[in-house]
Amino acid sequence: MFTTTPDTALHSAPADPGAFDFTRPPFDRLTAGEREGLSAALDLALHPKGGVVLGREEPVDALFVVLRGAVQERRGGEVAAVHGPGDRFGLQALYGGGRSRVFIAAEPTVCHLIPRPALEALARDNPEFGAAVLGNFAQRMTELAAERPAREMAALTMARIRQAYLHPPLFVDGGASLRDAADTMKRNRASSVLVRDPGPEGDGRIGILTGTDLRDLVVLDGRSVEEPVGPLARYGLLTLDRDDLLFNALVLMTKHAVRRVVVTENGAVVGLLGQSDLLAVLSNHSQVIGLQVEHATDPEDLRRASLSIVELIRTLHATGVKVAFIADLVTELNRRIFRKLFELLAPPELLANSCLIVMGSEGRGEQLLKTDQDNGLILRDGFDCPGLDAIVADFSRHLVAFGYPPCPGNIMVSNPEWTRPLAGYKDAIFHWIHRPDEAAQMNLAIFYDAAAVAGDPALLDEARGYLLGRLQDNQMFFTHFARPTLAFDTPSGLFATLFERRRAEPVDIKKAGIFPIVHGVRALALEKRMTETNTVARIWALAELGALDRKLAGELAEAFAILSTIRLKARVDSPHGEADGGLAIDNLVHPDRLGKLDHDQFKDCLALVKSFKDTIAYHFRLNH
Amino acid sequence: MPTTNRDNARNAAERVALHCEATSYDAATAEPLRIVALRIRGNRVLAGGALDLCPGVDGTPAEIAERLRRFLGDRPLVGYIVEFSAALVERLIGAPLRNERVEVSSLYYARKVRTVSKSAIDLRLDSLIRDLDLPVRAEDAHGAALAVAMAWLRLTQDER
Repeated sequence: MFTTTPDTALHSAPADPGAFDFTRPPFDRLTAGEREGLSAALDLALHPKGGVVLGREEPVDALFVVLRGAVQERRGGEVAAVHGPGDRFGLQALYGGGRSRVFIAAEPTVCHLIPRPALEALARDNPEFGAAVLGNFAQRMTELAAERPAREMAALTMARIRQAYLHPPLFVDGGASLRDAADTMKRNRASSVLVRDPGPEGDGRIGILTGTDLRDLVVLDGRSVEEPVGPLARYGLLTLDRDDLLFNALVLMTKHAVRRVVVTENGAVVGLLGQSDLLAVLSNHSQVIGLQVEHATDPEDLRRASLSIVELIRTLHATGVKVAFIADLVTELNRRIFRKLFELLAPPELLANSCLIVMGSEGRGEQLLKTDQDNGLILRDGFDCPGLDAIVADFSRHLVAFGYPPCPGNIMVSNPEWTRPLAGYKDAIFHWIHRPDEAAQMNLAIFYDAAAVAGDPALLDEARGYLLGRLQDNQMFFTHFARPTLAFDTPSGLFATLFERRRAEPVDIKKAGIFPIVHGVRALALEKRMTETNTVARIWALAELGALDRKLAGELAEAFAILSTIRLKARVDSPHGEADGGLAIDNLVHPDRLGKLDHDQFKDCLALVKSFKDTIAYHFRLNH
Repeated sequence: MPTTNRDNARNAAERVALHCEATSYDAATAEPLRIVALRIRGNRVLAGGALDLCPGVDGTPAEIAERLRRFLGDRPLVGYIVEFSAALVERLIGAPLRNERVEVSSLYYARKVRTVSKSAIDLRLDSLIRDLDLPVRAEDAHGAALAVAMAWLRLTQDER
């Protein structure tokens, strides 16, 4: 059946157009046997022009190598790279976790897929190949780390082995045969086994036997598979304690050119730490900041941790982590910092008899960059704390030093209006509801978003319960409350030409897009007496209740995410954005500076916001 | 905003690309020499998990039948002259196959007939591969099965 002539066989013209190209590094480092094995393990993926090869949400289980066609790598709507035949992608998504990019077929495309287990097996068996494939990745992580300020690296070096994933130890007895060892590895999908051997003196020792050792022993040295592993395993293991620094593990692996170290706890082996697991932790330094906060002994430690959050946001954003995820993380870290600071400053009886709350965007968990402090303290009725004024003044002052600007409306614990007994809060709430003026409206809105950060959360629950209980089915009240949704103009995407002409004009994304969603949703949630505080959580809860059409809910949640992303991007990229190591609070978006995809999305989102505003206006009869 | 919902729904349904190499083209008398089957899932051809069997070499007839039965399951069969390959597999299994059958040359014909005059449509597998620009050579059963899987994806992707 073969039609290949001797002529074409002699010249190394690609005989089979579907064959994997092993001339490209690092695949040229594979042995003939490994090439054969890899060829047999490959899957194929075909995508039509415009098809999503690798989306943000898809689980990545393979390394992609383009065989035919071209794949665009898009980041934030811009084409960041084009991958042609022989180029590979997907490794970062495979190991980095951060799914920044979307991969789109620029023309009909065929890709080879190297399944993750096959890639890892090759990397294990062929250290040179492994270093080239995974090493690039480690290199990139190192470079990324080097770009970070020194304080960030200092934080990185604090992480412990305990934070990393450990592979459970897999033991065989020294008397077991090489075949038994191979079988154990295969059954447990492990790349090595630990060997318990009585040792020459009979004092018991533990060694290691890896897949590479097995190959060398059996294939190269010609050992029989029946030989016992005891005398063949390698002893003198590299071990570290579980409480050792991860950084030491990295140093040890680099020094001895190994990919795993044995981890012990109280002298007993508890697992194996692999290089890729280690990198995963070091790259995820949010945990490190968290640790820094937990271990803080004075406000200065907290200030350092707080400053690294800005860097964290930058890094996460640069690696393309979704904004909703960044917001969750930053919210959690901010709250931990607030809690820890309050715990450092407040005497125990104050902690037990008060509840520190954050309000507004911080309460909704939508804070991305440091914006104004919106916080308060609810005291248990009848509790009197000597020196309270000084404590709360200190708290606000420290937060300013951490980079949270004071609230222009003075909604801070240092203001007695916001540090008062529960009964005082109830009075204020009564006033906000029954004598609504502009300030009362705003106070009510941000208090409705409050979240407890430190102290006794029951105090906030009671205050919120009081608020929801006092609300009457008073159309006038809700009409008033919802009205600010329409306060700012939203340039409409419906009049495309008008929009184009105004393209160069900056749009205040907060006023035109984000605030109308937040407040409109808040008004609907309040009307339904909901206790959720997060905007997206409220949207879905409203959809559950049938108060919001499911399709609209989905679109709103998506528009909210997109607008938040564009807003963050505008701030992170803002050239004049650096002030006190923070990022400028700039809500202006210049549509003409957006990439094509972002621009289109921005337009669609604004059009949706406009129609949502109509829905709200109709629902609350704002036009009457 | 690219959506992947449709892709997800498709993932649930696997197909099997099937190709048989035999001693002749007469399904009634031909002896199967080699059978290759590949699963298709979503946009992927699971080539790494191919079933590649030579009857009489790779185990007893009962074993071959069992492996084929398990690999195919109730998945729709895709092939080039799929009835021929299916007939040989039925003979090996010793039972009729109820699987839905998809003929790639028919899909290809249906596509071409819209643009080319009927007489000009070349339905040979090699021509189909060249025309669809598939990176494969159908010089053995494995190549043919790969070609079938890729052709099926290309021919159905545009309509999805």
